[in-house]
Amino acid sequence: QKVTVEVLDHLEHLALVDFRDSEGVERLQKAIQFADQLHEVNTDGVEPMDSVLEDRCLYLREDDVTEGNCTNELLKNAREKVEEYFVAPPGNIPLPKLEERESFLRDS
Amino acid sequence: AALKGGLRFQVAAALKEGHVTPTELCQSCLSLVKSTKFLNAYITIAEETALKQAEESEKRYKRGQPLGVLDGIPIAVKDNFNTAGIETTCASNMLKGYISPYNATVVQKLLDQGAVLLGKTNLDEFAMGSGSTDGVFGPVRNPWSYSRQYKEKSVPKSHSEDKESNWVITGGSSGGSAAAVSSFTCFAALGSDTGGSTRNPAAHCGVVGLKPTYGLISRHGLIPLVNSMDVPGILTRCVDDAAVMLGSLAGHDPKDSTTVQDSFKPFELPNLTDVSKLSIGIPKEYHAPGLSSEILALWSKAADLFKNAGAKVIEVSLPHTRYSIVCYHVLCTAEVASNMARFDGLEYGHRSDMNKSTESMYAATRREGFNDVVRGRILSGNYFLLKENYENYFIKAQKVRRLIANDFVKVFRSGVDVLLTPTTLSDAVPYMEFIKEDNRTRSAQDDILTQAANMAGLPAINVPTALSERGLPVGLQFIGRSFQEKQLLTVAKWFEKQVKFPMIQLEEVKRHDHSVFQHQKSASFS
Repeated sequence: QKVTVEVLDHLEHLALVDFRDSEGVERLQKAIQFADQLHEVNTDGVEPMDSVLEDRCLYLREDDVTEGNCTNELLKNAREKVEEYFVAPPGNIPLPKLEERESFLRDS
Repeated sequence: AALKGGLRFQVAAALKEGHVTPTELCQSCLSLVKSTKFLNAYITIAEETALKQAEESEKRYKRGQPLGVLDGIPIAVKDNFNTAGIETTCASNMLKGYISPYNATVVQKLLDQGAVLLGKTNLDEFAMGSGSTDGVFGPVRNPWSYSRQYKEKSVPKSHSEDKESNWVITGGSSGGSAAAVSSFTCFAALGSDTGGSTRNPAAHCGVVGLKPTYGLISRHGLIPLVNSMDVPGILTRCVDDAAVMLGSLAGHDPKDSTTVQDSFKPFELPNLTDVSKLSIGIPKEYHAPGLSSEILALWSKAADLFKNAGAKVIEVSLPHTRYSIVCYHVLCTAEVASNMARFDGLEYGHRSDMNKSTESMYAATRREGFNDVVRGRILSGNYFLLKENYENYFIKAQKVRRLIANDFVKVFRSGVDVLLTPTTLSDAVPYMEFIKEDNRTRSAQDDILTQAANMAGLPAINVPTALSERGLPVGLQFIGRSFQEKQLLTVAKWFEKQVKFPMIQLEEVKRHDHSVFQHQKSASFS
């Protein structure tokens, strides 16, 4: 069954990546088809596996400050900054709705 | 001749005895990097810092105080490892110009041992791919394309056509690292391995490619693809060298809490002569559709080799093997969707000029910075993670993962020490043929024999075995028990000694040979 335009639009919002063209959508359709093969496997009574190291305890270190004070180094790689702040464009402005966007999905 | 030597017995000894100096070695390697530029194996060449490191190493040797076997040895690092002061791009527009503020733990460890970092090697963008063809700096060419062995076997339609259109891929995604080691520009290289990305190019380029047990080597500083499967990979020209590299890199890292806390003792590989106590498993499912008859024959010959030497060789079954690729597809895209979320243009990397809103800036930045492969995986991953799909895809895949891991547990519990399988379905294909299929299809095809080891977290190694009818390398894979690298490498070393894989015959290397060095045995026999 094909993926609806609503879901595609939802994905673009979640991923903040767009499908760009029909090839992108095709790609997703094929990916889903490919993944559907998983349903051939009987997994009754099987627990999901998060990590191959699940039988061990994750290492926790002491809560001591051992490094830091590298503001200048970290700011070096940012394009827009003011004093010690990374500068972002205004937030709280949602991505325009599908009808108003320049997304290729708009005409789907 | 020194260029062709392995670490353990050859070049290291030469450095110690003063037959060659670190500076000479470094300069020679840098020069060879330049003359093999057409391979496109390197993205960044750190010439100045490498020469400085070589100078420091030379001082230490003069004082008679080298840091260890790796002191003065030129190495290369895949461009998805952070290297302080050196650009780290992941072959993506997203990180072009990004200068790492720190060294990945594995890089730091190598530098602390005195290794000389020549440069960063080329890869598929963000390590997504199996050809090293999908990065923004272009594809990597397999050095064997220019070997006498390949040229002798290929029938070019015209003299000019063959050099340009006949070249074969390195495999991927650590193709640059594999090509760098294969063409003698460095003695060892770091790769990464999530679905086979170190072993696959190792097989195609005729070098040793080791994927360590998950949790043995620190991932701190390795730009992550799939956190639950990624491992740093080691590429060398012989198994002994891989053991040396492993010895310098393995061990708990407080900066990576997924590294195990067991103490790791570096080891020297024994020269195994008696294999009668060994039990080799041959998993029948690895006779996968599409496996070339050539490789099938080689695999069979290898099994016979062990049998005739007295080892126990038995057929085993890993029933869920064929679902490994599907399982990987879901888990990988899901973890990728999460891992790639950090690239928003604010703190580092590419930033779009779009500034109407945060979200539109993020969206534009990611549109401009990622290639289609990356974007495709992010979108697929987000799909599988949607509330309505989470149980049916993500959780389902995690369950199948357990079944795959359990397959291996059962087999190793039954007394098998090491598994022997092919690494790839065929020898390296020409680039023009490779690009006819898309990245996902190719990855699904090419990872089929290597992926399950990542799924189960097991150590695995590619050992170059023989040349194909086309004159290209073919390797075989050994998969070992968790954290039993010593046993795995011991078996691999024995096998390497039996097969005597031939040395690549490259014009460029021949031309470099007579300058500095004398004796040096070749790396292909120990």
